[in-house]
Amino acid sequence: MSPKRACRQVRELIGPYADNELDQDARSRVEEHLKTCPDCRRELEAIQMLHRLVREKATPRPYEGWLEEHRFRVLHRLRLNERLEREVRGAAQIPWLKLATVAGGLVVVLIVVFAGWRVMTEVRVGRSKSIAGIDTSNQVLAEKTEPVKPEAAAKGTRGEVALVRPSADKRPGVVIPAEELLQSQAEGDRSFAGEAEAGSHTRETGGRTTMSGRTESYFLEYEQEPVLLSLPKPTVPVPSETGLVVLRLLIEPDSSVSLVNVERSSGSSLLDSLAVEMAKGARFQPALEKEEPVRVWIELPIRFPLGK
Amino acid sequence: MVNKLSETETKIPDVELVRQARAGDTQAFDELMKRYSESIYLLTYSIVRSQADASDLSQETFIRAYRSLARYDERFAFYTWLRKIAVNLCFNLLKRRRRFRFLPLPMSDDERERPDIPDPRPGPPEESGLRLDLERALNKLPPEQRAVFVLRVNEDMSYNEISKTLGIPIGTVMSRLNRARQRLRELLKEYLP
Repeated sequence: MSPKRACRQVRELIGPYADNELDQDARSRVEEHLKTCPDCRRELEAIQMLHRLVREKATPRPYEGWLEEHRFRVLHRLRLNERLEREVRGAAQIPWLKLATVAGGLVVVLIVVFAGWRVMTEVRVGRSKSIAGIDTSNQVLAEKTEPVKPEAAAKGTRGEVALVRPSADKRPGVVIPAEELLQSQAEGDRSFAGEAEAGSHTRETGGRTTMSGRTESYFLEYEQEPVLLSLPKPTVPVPSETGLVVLRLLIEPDSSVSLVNVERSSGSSLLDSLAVEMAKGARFQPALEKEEPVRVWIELPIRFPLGK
Repeated sequence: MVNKLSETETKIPDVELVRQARAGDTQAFDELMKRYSESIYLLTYSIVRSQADASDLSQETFIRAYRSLARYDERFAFYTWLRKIAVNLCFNLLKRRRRFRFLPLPMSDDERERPDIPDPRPGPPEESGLRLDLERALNKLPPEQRAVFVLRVNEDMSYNEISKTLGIPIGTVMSRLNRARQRLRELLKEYLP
């Protein structure tokens, strides 16, 4: 065997020799050759050196405090998981709880379906009515509801009203132009802080007198408009400014006012807030539909100075 | 004295700790973490070559291990089992990485991380040059070759163990090892005889 050929054969074994993977026979053959061949010895040394370099220098140890952080993170995740599993298992082990969950879900679905049905079938859309003694000239939307607490209404009404859709089969209603109504208010309105009484443009409805208008528009499907029963007097001296504040009120079936918005400002924030204060304390005979009180939006203009 | 103390500390064999951990004793599991976390970190680092990834993979290794303690076969060393989990996780990560090839940044992550990590044993300048060259050389290896090489050299695993851990034939282990060595010797020839 020529030296070159012997080297070639041994070269292939040097790696496994360095890795200690050779059987006794092959080992001694390699060792025998290495004694006489400096090239192959250098080959082995290079491999061993490479291994040593990689083993000792190529892997930086983790930073100071790494182990503590690592343990903390692992344990934290494990505890979280355990708690989660316990909860899931715990819930699964109580059959009535499962049942209650299903039943609860069913109830929620039923409520949603029922509410949706109510909204679609019973929401009424209408347009302008006037209220005894005080003119309202624009849109009034009514919705048949059970009596609701004002806070609840205040939270929920905007969304509900948004679902209202105008419908073509409503009977035509009437709207009085605001100017005319204001004029009528100026002429003979005695309703502030008192019983609502007939003005010049009223019509009989269920024993109450309310205004009615002449302009055709969407109409409410409630049969009886809300009637202003009382409007408190301002608690502070009214400034001598003149101005007209148009408010938008939500009249609850329990006769209270649950929401007041300034629809049109008088230009004076003092008059606006005065008007809002007054409207909040107003009492109404609620709008009626089939003799049941319903919730409605109305617009209420208040002109300053009062009583003129 | 110190030796005695550490002797008593390490007295509880791994198997016993595993049994306690199986029963839900996280303290026992914590003891196992104290023993093997750093080794697992070094192993995962040597394969994925990123400190952040190595930290994540070490965490994940112990989480997986804890969840599958029931499947641990007590006839084998706990670390061997742990190592297999870690290597599999490394390969999962590398496979995922390969699917999304990233454009190389001007500096690799590890080079940028380097200044932040104080070397515990600051050596002569040539040595840090060596470290940098080693890092670059290992980074140039395909991950399959690098993993085989690392398992052989750093973990001192036999061809047979590597073959089982990676699920590849022994012939493949040998050829990858051979190619890895050739490449590294080329790249690091100035440091080698």
